[in-house]
Amino acid sequence: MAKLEYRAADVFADISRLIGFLKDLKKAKVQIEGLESLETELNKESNQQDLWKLKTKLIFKNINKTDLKIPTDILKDVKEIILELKISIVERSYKKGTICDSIDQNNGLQYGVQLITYGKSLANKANYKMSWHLDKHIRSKEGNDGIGKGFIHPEYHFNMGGFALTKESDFNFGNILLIDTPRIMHPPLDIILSIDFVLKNFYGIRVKNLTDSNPYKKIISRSKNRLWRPYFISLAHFWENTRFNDLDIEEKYSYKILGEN
Amino acid sequence: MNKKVTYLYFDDLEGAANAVKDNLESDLLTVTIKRELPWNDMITYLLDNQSLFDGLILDWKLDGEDDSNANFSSEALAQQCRRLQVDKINGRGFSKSFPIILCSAQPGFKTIHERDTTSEDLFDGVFEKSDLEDQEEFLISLINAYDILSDTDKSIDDIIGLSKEKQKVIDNTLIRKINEIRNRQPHEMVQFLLKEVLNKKGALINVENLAAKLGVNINSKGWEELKNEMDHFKYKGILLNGERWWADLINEFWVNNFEGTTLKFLTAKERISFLETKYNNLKDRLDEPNLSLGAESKEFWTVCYVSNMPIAEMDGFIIDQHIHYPWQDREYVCLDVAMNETSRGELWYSLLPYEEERLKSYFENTEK
Repeated sequence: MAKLEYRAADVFADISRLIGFLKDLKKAKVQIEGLESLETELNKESNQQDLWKLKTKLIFKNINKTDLKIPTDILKDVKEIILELKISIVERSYKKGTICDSIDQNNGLQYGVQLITYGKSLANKANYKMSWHLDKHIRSKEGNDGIGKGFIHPEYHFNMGGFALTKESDFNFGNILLIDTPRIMHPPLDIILSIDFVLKNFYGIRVKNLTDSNPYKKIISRSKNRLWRPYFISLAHFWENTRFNDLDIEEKYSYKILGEN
Repeated sequence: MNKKVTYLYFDDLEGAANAVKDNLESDLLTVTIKRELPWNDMITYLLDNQSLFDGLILDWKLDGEDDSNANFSSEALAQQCRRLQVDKINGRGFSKSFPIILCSAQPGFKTIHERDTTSEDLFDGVFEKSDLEDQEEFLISLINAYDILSDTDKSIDDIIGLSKEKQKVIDNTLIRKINEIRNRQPHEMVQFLLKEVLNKKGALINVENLAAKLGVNINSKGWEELKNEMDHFKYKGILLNGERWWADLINEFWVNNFEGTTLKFLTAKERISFLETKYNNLKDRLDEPNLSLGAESKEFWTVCYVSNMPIAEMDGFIIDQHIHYPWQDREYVCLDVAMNETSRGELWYSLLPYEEERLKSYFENTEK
């Protein structure tokens, strides 16, 4: 049997080390809550080595208020910005030399990364809110396109707003909080890459010491290798289909990424 | 199934001791009061009469009265008893371990005592006398715990009331820790469970926290029925004093019943509508909790340390407390309590430094 490229233990070890680094960020006034619960998740025995499930909610505090793109007379009411990062992910390990999509949606959990920002104001004033989410297109088990025919559905896509904003009927659309919008097409993020995304987009210079450090970069690059290498090789193979002959490539993946299936 | 248990209670003030005895005694609990003796006599008395008691209560200052016989401290006596529970001195020792309680009539005694933390670990409980009077359930549970923990064949299941299968769902560090100290002195396990598990939010949660996690107002008409449905997930181990639920079993229940959803990610309204699909009889009988002052998120997850108001973590302010183990949750206060300083210094002392900064920003001049 071919050797597995990544096992749950490898990924969990990286997440665990990253948690350690994040706890140290308090010195740089970057506060992240929920790391203990994430550690607890990692400590559970129920995960198999070739299939692992993680769900977590992290709360990032002390985000720069200068990132707010709203009128200044409203800005003065906003006391702080809090960002919630919610992730649900099931991943499968894959064999060395295989190029495939390793995020699984057939095991009872939909993949999703949600970034919700709150601009909190004084108790008696309005609160502001914005949400983005990175989803994987939902398909039937056979892989056929089930829902949303007629629209383009890249396999992984960033969306702004949506259900997270509208599900509370009392939310006032005048209170939408606008921050620079992210790109639409995006390779998949796991917990490690999502955290990296938040740190680099919202804390910038304050986390540079960490994000420039070699141990941190190694953790990030392993996650990218696990999830992004297959993503981009699939894409490259879509146009260069005589190359990569030594790799076992899941043909459909590139079509899905491009939303052409 | 429950046998009657006896605590031997040493006090130099018989009047005060009698009041405690009268309030504590029941069909299941006897308290025998005894005046203190000089050191050697005291030790000899305890060893000679060890079959007559199951636990010991000591007054903090046995030398408080002028006619006192005590030429030693209660801490010293407790230390000697602990030693004699594990080892013989001059050929004599106790045949089993038993709980030792410290109490005092002095108001504010708990805070005074807590300053001398070196000796606190000797005791299974430290109480002011007026509080000790209400501890019947706890005192009985202690004897029961010592019985179970003294059994060399005890399993983790016997201790925390969770099957091997269910243990997998719980934070593994907790299970490993219990396993690590399983065969040490009962006293050590009792200390650990009380301090780090039963009396800390996290692995176990109380009723207010349960309601918050289920997104249900505790005053809803259907709450009691819903609570009863959660009986399977209750803590059924030793030292139970009041109701507790395993937080991880609640999460597992959710995943098993409402596949693909994550309890923590749902608003109260969503949680209630899922619960209503499972329990038809609860339809329209569960209400959402109210938002506390200044709160934004209806993804309730914890409760305010002071007011017990349900809050989402992002709406709370974290109290400065040491987290000893990963299964322990941080404690939060809501904005209302954080701004209103009256409970500060009594129930809690300070927020984490960066949370104090966050709080301050709510008072800052808005012209900036």
